[in-house]
Amino acid sequence: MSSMDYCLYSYSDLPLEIVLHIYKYLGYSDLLAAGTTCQRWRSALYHTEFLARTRVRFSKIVLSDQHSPALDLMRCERRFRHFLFEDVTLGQVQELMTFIGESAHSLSLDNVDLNDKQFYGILSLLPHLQILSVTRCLPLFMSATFLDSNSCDLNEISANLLSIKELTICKNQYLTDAILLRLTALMPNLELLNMSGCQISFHNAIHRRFYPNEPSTPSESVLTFKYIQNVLSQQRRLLHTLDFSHTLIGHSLMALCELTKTDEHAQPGLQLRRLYLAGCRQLNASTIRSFLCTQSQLSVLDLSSTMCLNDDCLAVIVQANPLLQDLKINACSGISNTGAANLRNLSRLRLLDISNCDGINSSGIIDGIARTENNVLQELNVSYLTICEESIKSIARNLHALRSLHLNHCVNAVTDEVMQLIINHLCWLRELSLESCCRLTDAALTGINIAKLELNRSSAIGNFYPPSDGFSGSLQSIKISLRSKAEEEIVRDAKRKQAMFAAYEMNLINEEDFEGHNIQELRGLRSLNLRGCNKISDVSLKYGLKHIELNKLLLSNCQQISLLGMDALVNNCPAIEVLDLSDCYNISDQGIKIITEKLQRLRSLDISGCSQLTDHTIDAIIVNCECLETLSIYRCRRMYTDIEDRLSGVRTLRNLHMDNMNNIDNAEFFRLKKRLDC
Amino acid sequence: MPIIRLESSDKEIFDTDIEIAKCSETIKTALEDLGDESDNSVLPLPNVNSAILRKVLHWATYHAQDDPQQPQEDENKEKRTDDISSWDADFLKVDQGTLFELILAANYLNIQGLLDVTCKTCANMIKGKSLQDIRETFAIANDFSPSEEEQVRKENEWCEEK
Repeated sequence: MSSMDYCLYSYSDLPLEIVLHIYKYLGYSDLLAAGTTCQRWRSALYHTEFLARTRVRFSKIVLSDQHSPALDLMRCERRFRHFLFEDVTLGQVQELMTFIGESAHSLSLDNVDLNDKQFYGILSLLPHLQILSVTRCLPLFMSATFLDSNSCDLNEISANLLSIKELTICKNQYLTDAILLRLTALMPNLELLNMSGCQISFHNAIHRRFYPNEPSTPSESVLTFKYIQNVLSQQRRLLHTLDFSHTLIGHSLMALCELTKTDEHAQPGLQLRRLYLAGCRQLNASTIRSFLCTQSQLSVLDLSSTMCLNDDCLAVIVQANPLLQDLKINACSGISNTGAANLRNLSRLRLLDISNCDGINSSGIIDGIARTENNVLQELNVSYLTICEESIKSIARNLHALRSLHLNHCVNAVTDEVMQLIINHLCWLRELSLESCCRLTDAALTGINIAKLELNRSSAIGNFYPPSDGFSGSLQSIKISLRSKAEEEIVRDAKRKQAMFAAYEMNLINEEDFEGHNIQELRGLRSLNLRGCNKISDVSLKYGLKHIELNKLLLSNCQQISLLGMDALVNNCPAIEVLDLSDCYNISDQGIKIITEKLQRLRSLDISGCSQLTDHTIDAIIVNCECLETLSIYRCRRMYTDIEDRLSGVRTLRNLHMDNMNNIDNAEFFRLKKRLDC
Repeated sequence: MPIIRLESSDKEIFDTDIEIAKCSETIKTALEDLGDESDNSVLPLPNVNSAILRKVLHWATYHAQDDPQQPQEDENKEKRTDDISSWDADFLKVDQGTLFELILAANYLNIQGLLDVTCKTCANMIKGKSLQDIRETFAIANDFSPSEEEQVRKENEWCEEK
C-alpha cells in the first residue's frame, strides 16, 4: 500500500507559517524542488523572503516580448527583485521591461549588446531600481553624447536614477571622465562604487596631456582618477564601499585621505566599510598605511596580490582597523611570520585569506590564528603555504566555528591523521578544499584501518587474482631492485591498492574495520574538493561520502574512481549539482549513464580527459540531463559525431568546452538559431 | 509540586507538572488567565489527541532542563538541520502521519523547540530529493494543471540564488 492510498493527513494542507518554517532550513535547489510539488507549497515561495533570495538570470539567449523566456516571465505571478542579463541580445523589450520595472531592485547587464537609446529606454521603465551594474557593454558608451542633456531628454530617467545606491561599471571600454561625471551626477544617493578592472589613468603626465588648462571640462577621451576623485568627494558622506581592484591606483590613494577629514560644518568625511584593492600592484606600503589609518570603520578589506604589503603595514592595519571582519591578504609575499602573528589581535575576524604568502610558515599561522580557542573565525584559506601537520592540528583543535577551510597544496601537512582530526573537531564545516593533498588515502575519509585490513586479509587475498593491473604486474618483472625510498613507496602503494581493491570486491570490508572517524560526521558538508588526491578510490565513495547537502564534488585526477564508486555516489549524494571527473580515466559510459540518470540536479559536468567515454555518453547526456548548463569534454578522443550539433538540443546548455570547437560566435549563433526556430 | 490536568481531544486526562507544561506558550498563557484556580483544574486541548499529547509531554519532560529559548531569532544565524540531538532523532523516528500530527500539535501548543526540531526533520526529508520523491514522502497530490506545471518548470530554469 503506497503512502498515497489512504491518508488522514496531507502535508500540502500544512498552515503557511509552518511551510515557511520548514523552508527556512532549505537550500535554494531544495526550495525549487519543494515549490514544485503542489499549489500551496508553491505559493509559500511567493512570500517576500524568497523573492529577496532569488535572481532571475537570462544567459546566452535572445530576449524579446514575443518569445520565451520573456513571455514566460510575464506570465509569472511572482514579482522578482533581482535580474541579471548576461551575453544577451535584446530585441523588442518594451513590455518585458515594463513588467520587470514594477518590482526590480537590481539589474546587471554583462556583455549585452545595447546602445544608449535602448539604455535610456530601459532605465525609464525601472522606477524602483537601487542597484545597477554595467559590465563589458561595449557599444554603450561609444556615443559621445551619452547622457548629455543637450542631446536627449533626461527627465524620465533622472527621476529613476535618483534612487540608485550601488553602481558597478567595470571593463567598459569607452567609459570616459565626461560620461562618468554625467552618470554619477544623476545619482546623488550613491553609496557603493565599483570600478574594478577599469582602464583608469592615474599618472599626472596623462592628466596634463588631456587637461592642459585647469579648470576645464571633463575629457571625452580618457578616464582619469582626478575626475573620479570629484565623484568621491561629492559622495563622501554616503559612500561606504569602494572597489578599485585590478586598476593602476597607486599614490593617488593618498588624495583620498583629504576626503576623510571632517569639513567646516563638522560633517564626517569618507568613512568606508568595505574597500577592495585586489591586484593593485602600483600601491606602496606607506600609501596603504596612511589611507587605512583614516578608516577605522572598515570591516571588509581586500589587499590580495598587492606586492607591497609588509609586516609593518599589517601591524598598522591591525591597530587602525579593529573592526575588520573579512581580510584578504593572499599572495602578499612581503608578509612574514612576524606580520602574521599580529592577526591574533583582530578580535572580530570572521574570514581570512592568507594563501600563497611565501613568507609565512607554521609558526606564523599558529601564532596568528590558532594559538588559542577562537569561536569567531568561520572561513580560512591557507592554501599553498609551507606549513606542517602541527599547524593544521592546531587549527582543527582551536577554530571550532570554521565553516570553510581551504588547504589546497598543503601537501606535507595534510595527512590521514590530520584529516581525522579535522573530521573529529570541525563538525560545522560546509566547505572543505584539499586540492593536490596527495598523501590522503581512503583511511582519511572513512576511518578504515588499512594496515589491519592488509594484515588480516593477506591470506585470503593470496587466492584472489586481482584484475590485470599492469603496474604491479610490471613491478614483479623488475629484476634489479634499487632499494630506493621511491621504489619502496611505489611498492607499498601498489600493495595497499591491491589489498583495498580485493577486500572491496570481495565485500570483505565490514564494521570492525572502521576504527576512526568517517567524513559522514561532517553532516552539513556542501562542497568538497579532492582534485589531485589520487589515492582516493571507490572505497571513499562507497563507505565515506553520504551527504544529502553535498552539491559540489571535485574529483579530478582521482584515477582510481570507477563505476563501482559512481554507483555508490549517486545514491549517497543525490543533490550534486557540480561534478568534476576530469582525467578519471577509469570512468566508462556506464558510469556517466548512471550519473546522468540519478543526479537530477546536475548543472555542471566536467569529463575532460576521460578517455574511455564514447558517443554513448553524449546520448546519455542528451536523454537524461534536465538542467545541465555547463559541459567540458576536452580530450575525449572517442567522441566524434556532430557533438555541437547534437548538444544544441540540450535546451539548458549554455557553456560547452571542447577541443576544436567552432568559433565561439558561431556556436552561440547556432544555439540562438535553434531556439528562434522553435 | 503543582499539577495541571490536560485533557486531550478524546477526553483522556494527563496530570502534568506545571513547570513542564509551561514549555507550551499556549498552556502558559492559559494558566496565567486561570490564575489561582490553576491547581487541579482541567485544561481542555481540543486540537490534540491522546497519543500525540502523550508524545509531546514525553518530549517536554526530557527537555525540561534545557536553557530557555533566545528571545529574538537572529536572522543572520545559519539555519542548520544537522544539529538534531540523537535523543530527538530517535524520538522522531515515527511514521509520516505521527510526524504531521506532532508538527501541528507543536504549532498549536506553541512549543518552539519541538516545532524547530520537527520542521528540521521535515527539511531533512526534503533535502536532495527529486520532485517525485518529495511528493511520495509527504503524500502530496499534484494539483497543477499541465500548463501550470509547464510554467513552473520554465520559471525554475531561470531562477537562481542571488
